[in-house]
Amino acid sequence: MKKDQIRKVINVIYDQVFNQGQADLYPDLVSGPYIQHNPLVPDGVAGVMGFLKQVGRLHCEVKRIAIDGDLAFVHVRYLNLFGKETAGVDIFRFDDAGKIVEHWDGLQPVPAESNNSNTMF
Amino acid sequence: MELTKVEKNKALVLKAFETLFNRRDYAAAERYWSPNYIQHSAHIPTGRDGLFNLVKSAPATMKYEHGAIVADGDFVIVHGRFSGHGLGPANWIAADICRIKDGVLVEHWDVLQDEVTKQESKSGLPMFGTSFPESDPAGAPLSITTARAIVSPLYEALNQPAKKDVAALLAQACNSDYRSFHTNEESVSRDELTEIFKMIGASVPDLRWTIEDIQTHGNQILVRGKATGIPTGEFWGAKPTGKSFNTMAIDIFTVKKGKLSTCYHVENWVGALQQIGK
Repeated sequence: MKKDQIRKVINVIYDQVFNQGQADLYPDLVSGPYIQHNPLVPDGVAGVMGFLKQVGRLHCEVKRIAIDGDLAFVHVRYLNLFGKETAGVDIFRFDDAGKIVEHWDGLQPVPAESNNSNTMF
Repeated sequence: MELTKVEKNKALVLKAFETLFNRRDYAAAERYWSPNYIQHSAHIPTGRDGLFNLVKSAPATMKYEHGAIVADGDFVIVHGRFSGHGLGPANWIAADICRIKDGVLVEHWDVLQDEVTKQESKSGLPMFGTSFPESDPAGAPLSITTARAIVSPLYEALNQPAKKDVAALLAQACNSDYRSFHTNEESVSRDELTEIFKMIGASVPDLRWTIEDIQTHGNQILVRGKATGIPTGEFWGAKPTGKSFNTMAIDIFTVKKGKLSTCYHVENWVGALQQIGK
């Protein structure tokens, strides 16, 4: 039940907020104070909203989702983030009402050369 | 039953990472990795051997700590920090994605990002755990291999300098605000050093400069070098005699952001001049 709810929120984020650039849908998905660990984004709901509006549409593909308890990890391929194809993992913590209360992430531009032939995704 | 499986998978990944990255018990770690392990991380060679050999080549200072961990179906994803890895001054914050089959790790993807300091973070909150790393993490000393890779373009520029692009080699090795100290107080910039290298190269066309010993201490690199050559032009005020010199040089560098930041250096030029018999 709760897992489905979390999955729905994740779909809204990557399909609508990122791929379609509908940043205005984001405030409904979160609950303040919204604790931000991404070093590029100021803390709080206002910080993330400023960031989303600034980047606009972000073309991305969700590769893998793992939901466990109140945490969701999402593996994402960004087609062009700050000018580069980028691998990302977002970590969201949800409250009992299914709202996001905390966020961490990791971002790594896909290097031109790899030590194996399997691709990063 | 699902609960049992995800809990088992999480425990498996934590045990596997601890055994391989921290305990470095390769024989025990073989139990946790499939021999047909599929690697997607761009910096790790393919297969179980590719991963194990990379860990074997990492400095003894490397340490892994895990943070949040989740399991869902056949997947486990874990947030972690690699410190002391010797591949640059910053810790790596990792999200490791593992696929588990029949009780072993069979496939892996990851995302790695340099950990920022408090001054570098807009959110003001750490990327991992509850605290920021130190500005110059003392826990991540340079490995000899990394140190050699950082300084080698500079010494390359001192081997027959007239035949080299000295400016490009120094730009590769040194930060743009590099200072090279020839006394305790006096220093020159990277551009000024480029001209000095060219000047020495013009006087001693066959100049050869080798690294005889290299050591690291925190973010410092210490090099004992050997400089040899036959001056064909005026050299430190002396006319060429056709004789060669063979002298010692000591360089103490500091490193910032993976490049040289400062150098304090001495060369026994007095000894060199005696050898060429001015």
